[in-house]
Amino acid sequence: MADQPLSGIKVLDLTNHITGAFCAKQFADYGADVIKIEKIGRGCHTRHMPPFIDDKPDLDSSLYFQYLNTNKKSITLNLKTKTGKIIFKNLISKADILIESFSPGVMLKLELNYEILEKINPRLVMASITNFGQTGPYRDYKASDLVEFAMGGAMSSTGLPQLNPINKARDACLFESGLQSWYAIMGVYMGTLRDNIGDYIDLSIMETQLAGCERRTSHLLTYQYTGDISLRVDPFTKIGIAPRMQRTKDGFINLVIGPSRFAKFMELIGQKDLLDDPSWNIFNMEKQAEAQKLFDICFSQKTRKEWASLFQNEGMICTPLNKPEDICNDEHWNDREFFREVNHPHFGTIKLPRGAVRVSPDWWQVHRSAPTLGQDNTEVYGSIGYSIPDQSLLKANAVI
Amino acid sequence: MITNTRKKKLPLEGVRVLGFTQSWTGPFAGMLLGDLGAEHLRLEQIQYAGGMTRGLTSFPLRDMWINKKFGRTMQYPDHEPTGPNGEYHMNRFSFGNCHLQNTYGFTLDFTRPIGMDLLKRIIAISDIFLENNTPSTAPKLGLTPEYLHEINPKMIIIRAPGYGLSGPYTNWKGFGANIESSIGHVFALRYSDNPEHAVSNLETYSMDNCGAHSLAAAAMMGLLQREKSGKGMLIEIAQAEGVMGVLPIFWMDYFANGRTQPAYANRHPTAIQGCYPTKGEKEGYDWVVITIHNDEEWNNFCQALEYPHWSKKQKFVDCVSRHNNQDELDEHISSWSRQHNNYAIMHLLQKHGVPAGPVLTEEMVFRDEHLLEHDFFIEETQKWCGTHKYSGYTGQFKKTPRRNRADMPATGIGEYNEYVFKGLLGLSNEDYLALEKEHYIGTEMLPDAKSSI
Repeated sequence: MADQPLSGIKVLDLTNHITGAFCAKQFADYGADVIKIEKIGRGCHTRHMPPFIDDKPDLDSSLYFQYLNTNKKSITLNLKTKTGKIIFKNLISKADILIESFSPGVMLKLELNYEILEKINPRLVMASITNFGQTGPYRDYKASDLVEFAMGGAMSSTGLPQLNPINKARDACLFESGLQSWYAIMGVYMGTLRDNIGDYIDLSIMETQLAGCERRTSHLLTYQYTGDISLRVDPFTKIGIAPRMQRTKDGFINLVIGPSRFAKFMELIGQKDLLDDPSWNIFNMEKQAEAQKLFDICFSQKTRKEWASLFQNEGMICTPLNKPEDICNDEHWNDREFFREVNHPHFGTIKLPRGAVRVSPDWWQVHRSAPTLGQDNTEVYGSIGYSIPDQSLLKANAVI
Repeated sequence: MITNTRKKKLPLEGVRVLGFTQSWTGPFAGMLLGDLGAEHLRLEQIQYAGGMTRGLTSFPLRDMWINKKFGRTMQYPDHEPTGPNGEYHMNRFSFGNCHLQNTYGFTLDFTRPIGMDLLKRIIAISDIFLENNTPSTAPKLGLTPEYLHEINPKMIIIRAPGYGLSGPYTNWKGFGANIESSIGHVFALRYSDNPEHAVSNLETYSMDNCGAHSLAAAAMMGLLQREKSGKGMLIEIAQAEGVMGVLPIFWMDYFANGRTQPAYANRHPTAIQGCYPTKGEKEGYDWVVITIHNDEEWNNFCQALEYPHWSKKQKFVDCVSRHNNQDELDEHISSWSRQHNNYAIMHLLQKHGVPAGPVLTEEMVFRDEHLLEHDFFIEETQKWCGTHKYSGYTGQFKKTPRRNRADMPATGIGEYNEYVFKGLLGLSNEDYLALEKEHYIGTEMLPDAKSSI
């Protein structure tokens, strides 16, 4: 644990959905001490998101929850009670970072807003993650993954030109915003280490999409430079007559063949002789239909993987269009131990992706699987001075 | 009461980052660190254009760009590579200019001994080395981690190749779209399982977004770790692994339940959700997205629409039946939405507590009242492009200052050569001019310059 870069940092995860939880997970996975504060009885929203292990819903079987909460502790706490607020403030006094994702105004109503918390802990870094930020005309608007991608992301240019715009992978946008939030909080935290003054961060998921480099900033700048909006384009558009998305024996490959490699490309598909004919020129668009017929025949001879290996060995860009089963069984990811088995007291093992940051000895570690609801009540409340009888009283009073 | 009048400083002031980066992940991460006050020196060469940061080739053909009107990731102001007063095309490319802020762009040919000696001096005074090339690139040029640590044992080295530094695909080449095809994002993003929808969209760049922010956060973790150990380190971030980390359900459902995720398109497993056509200036142009999570939001939705007759159908009464009959429900919603403007639909539905939002084109984004009130965009005047609005930052900080991107707009190639060689390294004017003359440094590509593409 001492080898982990974020060990010793104390984080309170008061978030309900994906973005905040994924942000807090980065802290937890790279060594920080993260306590997730959940609603009594129901816990956070992601406990209820399918798919469930064996399709059996219970408070722990959501695959979202299991992924988002590795290494975290869980306590249950009712912030609406006076005693609950006092307990929360006690935890705040010992914390470095608070991440919360209530709708704007809720923390103020609970009398747990930044102005109050910073008096208790002037070094606290508090981050509020919301749909549209703490101010503005959309402040109280509701959202979903699709609403965020539509308004903040490049949805208008995603999909086929003849059909409606389409979402990218479900919830990818919300997870990305979690990583972006992690960066922002780390930045502020680094500053606090220098001057011992905390800060408040207002994170709007819509604006993280507009600020991030999942294409959007470049599309927006292209519009500024030209007045052109970004259109949905045919994914089969090629560079001249060279193929881009090409059918093979068992699915598609994605190629990038430029003019300097066209001759090599023809050689690799066994059509070198055709180059004697000057009309077989990458930019001769009259050859397009004939070329595509030829390529379809040639490429049907080998699988995606065979073609990708063949081209990549020559330093040429060619990757297969893969499905989850291809990737989960792929020797590259298995060689790299990308998918990790985490022991779970009830489910045996759960296989999940590891974190992207790799150092030797590894900074990314899983010390425990995602917690059960209130799993750490006894330990955490004990550590702030509540004996077992005290905790029973708190439980009876629906404070914890 | 004593008021705390102490001001916060730039979080990474005094930290120097040397970036040997191209395309998106690397340069964007450098800007992210520059935003926090780090001095981000970005190394380029006038002999070689790496990646697509400043163009598809070293010498763009005007014909290729002048008629390209579909927007997207790369273009020049007014579709002209060279500006009206001869402004240099390498400094006018939207692909790079959206993230070359807070960056000291400099050039140096370090393939020759004099150049390498100068680079060694820069390495010696830098805290962090960032690169996102294929694994063999930097080592082939002599920049192995061992070499860097020999010069500067405290250096935090971060390497972010596409597929990682080990494994059968370590040397595989590919742009973002290629990598995302191979890790299943293109498959995830399909309208249906019909063969004609097998490739519904080629380009997503989640790996760049995940990569850049992970790189920047990792750099800060490196600084924290170095503080404890007193030593430098080597950090690896495989960009493919970054994006696979934001698609967890695809792997976990396969491992736990043996299942491949179906094509959701714009739908949702538990809510009524879709993308619906709206009235716009042109047919098929404008859209709205709506998510109805539960009975309460359904009731709010019906109320907003003043309880149309179809909303009372038995098959739409409970959340399960509604979900199972979404095809029919979508037709009704579309016939309603077609009559209204997308923003109007958002405001109406949101007023009644239903999540909804317009699918924003870039034009709509710059007019959006919420973003205008937030002052989200930053007006930047850049020598080669003029004045435009550029995207703003992730998160608003109450007290922590950020370096203002307007003060350091997208850097030109070699723009900060004088700062790096005379300012940081203390070269005399004579020695500096000799470097220019011998083409170790410069601000324009040489006529025989090569491209990586």
